Amino acid sequence: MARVKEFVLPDDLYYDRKEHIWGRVEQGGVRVGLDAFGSCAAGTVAYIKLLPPGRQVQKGRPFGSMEAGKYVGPLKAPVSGTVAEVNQEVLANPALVNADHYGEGWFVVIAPSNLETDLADLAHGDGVQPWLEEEVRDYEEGGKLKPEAERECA
Amino acid sequence: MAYVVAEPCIGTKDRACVEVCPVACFYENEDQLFIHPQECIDCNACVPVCPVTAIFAEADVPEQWKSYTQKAIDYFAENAGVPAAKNKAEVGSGGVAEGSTHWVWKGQPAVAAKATAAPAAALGAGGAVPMRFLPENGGRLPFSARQLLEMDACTRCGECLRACSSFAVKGEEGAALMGMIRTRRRLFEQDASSPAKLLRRDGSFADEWAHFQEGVFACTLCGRCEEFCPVGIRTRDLALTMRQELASFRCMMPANLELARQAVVEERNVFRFPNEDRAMWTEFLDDLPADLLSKERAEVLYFVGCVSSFSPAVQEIPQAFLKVLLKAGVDVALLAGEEWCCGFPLIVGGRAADARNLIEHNVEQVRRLGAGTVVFNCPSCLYAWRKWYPLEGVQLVHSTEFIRDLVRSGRLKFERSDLTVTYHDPCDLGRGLGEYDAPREVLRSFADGGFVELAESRERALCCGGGGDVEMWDPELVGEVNSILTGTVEGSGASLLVQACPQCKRTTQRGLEKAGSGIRTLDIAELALEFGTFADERASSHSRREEVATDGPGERVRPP
Repeated sequence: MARVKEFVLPDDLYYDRKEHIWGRVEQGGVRVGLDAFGSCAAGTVAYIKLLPPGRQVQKGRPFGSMEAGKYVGPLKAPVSGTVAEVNQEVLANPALVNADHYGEGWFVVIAPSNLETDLADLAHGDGVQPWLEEEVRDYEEGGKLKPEAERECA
Repeated sequence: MAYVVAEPCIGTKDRACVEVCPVACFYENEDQLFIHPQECIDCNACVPVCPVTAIFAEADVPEQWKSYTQKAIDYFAENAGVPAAKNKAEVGSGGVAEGSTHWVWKGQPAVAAKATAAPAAALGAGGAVPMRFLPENGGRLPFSARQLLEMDACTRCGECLRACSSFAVKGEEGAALMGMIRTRRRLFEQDASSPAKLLRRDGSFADEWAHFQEGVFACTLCGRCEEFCPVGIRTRDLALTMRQELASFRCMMPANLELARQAVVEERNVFRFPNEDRAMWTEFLDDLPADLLSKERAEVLYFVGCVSSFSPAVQEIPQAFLKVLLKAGVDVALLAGEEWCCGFPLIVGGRAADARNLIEHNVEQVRRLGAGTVVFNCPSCLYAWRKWYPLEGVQLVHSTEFIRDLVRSGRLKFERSDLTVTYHDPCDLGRGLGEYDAPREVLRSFADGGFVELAESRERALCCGGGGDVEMWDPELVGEVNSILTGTVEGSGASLLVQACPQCKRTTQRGLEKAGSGIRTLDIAELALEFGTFADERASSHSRREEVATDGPGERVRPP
């Protein structure tokens, strides 16, 4: 479990270092969501669109888009494959992303086509803590994240 | 010292930096270019254009090139009074097409060049694509003679304050045109002694400039004050020129505008979405023509725009309008990844020069397709195309106009509805382009006597808050400006608000949700798709009814 200040990132997940998208390797595929840090930086999520099941996605390319208080843009796939499942609850209630990052707030399950290679450059295990420390520092110093005392996204 | 030219420049001396520098602070010796440490205003404009990544902020100069900081200091100590570096045209170093941008004119002494270089460049003077927003003032300042007179003519009557939603929210005169003019006039007076000073951020006036910047970038450029001004000041153009002066001449702009500018330069859209996935919104639709995204020729191009393409809040708008186009039997093409930002966000952000290659690219796509018509659902894109695109003989049509024509020709019919419906005029479509009647004609054919005007409509329509790029740096202001509009929507008695702009709908649907209002918002294309029937559909549903009635194939009804 990696933790920096209020941000907790389970180290059994795989993280896209730039997008703060997590992937959890499960039996049916890779479940995908937004991590606690990304959710805080983006602000309250208001709108989400997710590609329907059956669509092909490529690692690094969008599987959907998201509009939040401080972010409008793509949700990029951490692995290539086919959309196997879409979280209808999060489409109906996008703020679930902020409320339950690693539980009810997931986006899609991707049936991976090239799993081992795609996981290689994602942060995982012991690599999560130092990366998270660096991210929090960069965002705070760059003014992209409010000072700790003013943040309301634990 | 702020920025330093390092070793990669040696043997290259590309001079792209000289072209973009707004204060002409580049100098040279035989080997390389130098940045004058006192003249540089830290605007960063030269860094991204250097083809060999030779320019660094002083703190970021790589270890192996640290000596280049001292080298520059020594250069200027030994070469005081040396003329500024020549630009590409002056040295005849290829890469610049005939008639292309001249930042510093040939034969001008360095001092005069400093006073004239930035305006000409920032506004994209000359060039393969004649820019229509080039002011006819010789390029000394971005203000035209008319605008200088307008600023002098302002009587401080305060009518524009009455019109201005940003002022209503912030309570600061500087956010309304009257305040902007007042501050700028004072700065003119202080600066008047030296034209060269106009191009410099002089420390003694830094607070005044900062105040001016804050006001100018709190304006949503909705142009409502223009309808109130008793002395006929073209307020929207004037505020736009003020932004041009600040952002392009003085590099004074909100940090997020610079980020958006970089996003457009790198990704061709303001959202930094991978542009090759621009048409992702079509992947949610079934039964599209297979060649929709890859047509080589088409009669009509649908230019979707960045907000409609990328914002999940309003993706239903392009989806609906595309279906309307297809149901109307239009031979339509989408550009997908070859659609680039129309340039509007950069131009209204005061960075017109950066819009040039976007405009050239999009124009080239129209020519490639041989399209005689370009249709838009975004009024801001349409505004940019009508005002600033060098296109002759191509029809530029808004969705409201296209749908109005379908209604007129009888190809689209509405079941008369008993809903009470109202309409909000987008600033770029209404005040910007004068189109007020097309949407009203459609809505009168839809609502059976149930069309009501908002308390402030047509020329005096209220701003949604989403204009002038303000959302990029002050989303709270956008929300508060929008709440003034949503207040009048709630007071109208309507249960359905029809809009005709994706940005208006984004801000307003959020505003209505926040206010807990039950009023529904629909874009006019969504209205047509949800409530209208098309000629072909009526024909086929008629024949289907016949088939059922006669229990046989029946006579097919030809579409009108």
